[in-house]
Amino acid sequence: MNISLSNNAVYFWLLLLSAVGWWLSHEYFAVLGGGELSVYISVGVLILSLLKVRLIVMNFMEIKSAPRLLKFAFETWLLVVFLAITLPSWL
Amino acid sequence: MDNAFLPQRRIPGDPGVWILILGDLLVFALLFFFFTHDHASSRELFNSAQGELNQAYGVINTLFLLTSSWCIATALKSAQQGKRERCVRFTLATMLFGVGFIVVKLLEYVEKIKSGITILTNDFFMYYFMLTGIHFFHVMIGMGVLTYLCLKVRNDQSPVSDNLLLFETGAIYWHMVDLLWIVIFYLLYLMS
Repeated sequence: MNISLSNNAVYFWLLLLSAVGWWLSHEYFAVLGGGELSVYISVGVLILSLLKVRLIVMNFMEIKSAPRLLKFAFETWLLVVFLAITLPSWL
Repeated sequence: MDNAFLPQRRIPGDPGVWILILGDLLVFALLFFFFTHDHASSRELFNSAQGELNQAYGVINTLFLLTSSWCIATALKSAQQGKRERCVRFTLATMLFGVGFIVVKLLEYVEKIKSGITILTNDFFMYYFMLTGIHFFHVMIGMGVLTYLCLKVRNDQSPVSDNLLLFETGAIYWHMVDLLWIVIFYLLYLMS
């Protein structure tokens, strides 16, 4: 999906996602400790971080209007990073 | 459907920079995997060592780099519109936030070393110094690139649009520095 966002809108979303991510991670450290729920929250924070990366890649780096091969390479990299970070914990 | 109405797809910046960036991203993906692999096998050590990091430094540096990314994207837009002064102003702002990142990172390193924490302390801090160190090196290269771009756009007598490809390439590199930090920040400061 290619939604055209202005630089200011991208910046706003980056700050908003960061704030939610920090708040979530702080909450699970402070309240939940090492419970099972904290693992899901940790994965949630990872997804928020990768969403920020995707916002930068697609909009600031202008990959959304680049050739499909380049776009595919970045989407694949995001998936690889997600798996590289989450799989070792589950295996 | 008539393709004449569809926007043309184009490679932003110099095509060569994408080879460098994709290669860099692959190496970092591998390092991220090694980190989480070792994290999974010594969970307690990694979690307790993570508690010794000051999250405030990471948060401030994330804000600095996100803001610098916005600044360089705005500088590029100004260059595309032929607004030289605005382009230079936003490039300088990008560099200012870059310097802010460097200062905070150095403060954090000094604080760690003063309290006896080094690359040899344990596996977590080995990764901490390695990941942030390699990233720091990228930031320094980025600062050099930004300085060059700023001087080129400010001093060149030709229209700003003549340097557009060069400027776009430098901006893309700086964005890569930012996106790598987002993942490193998650791994070292937030992941549990």
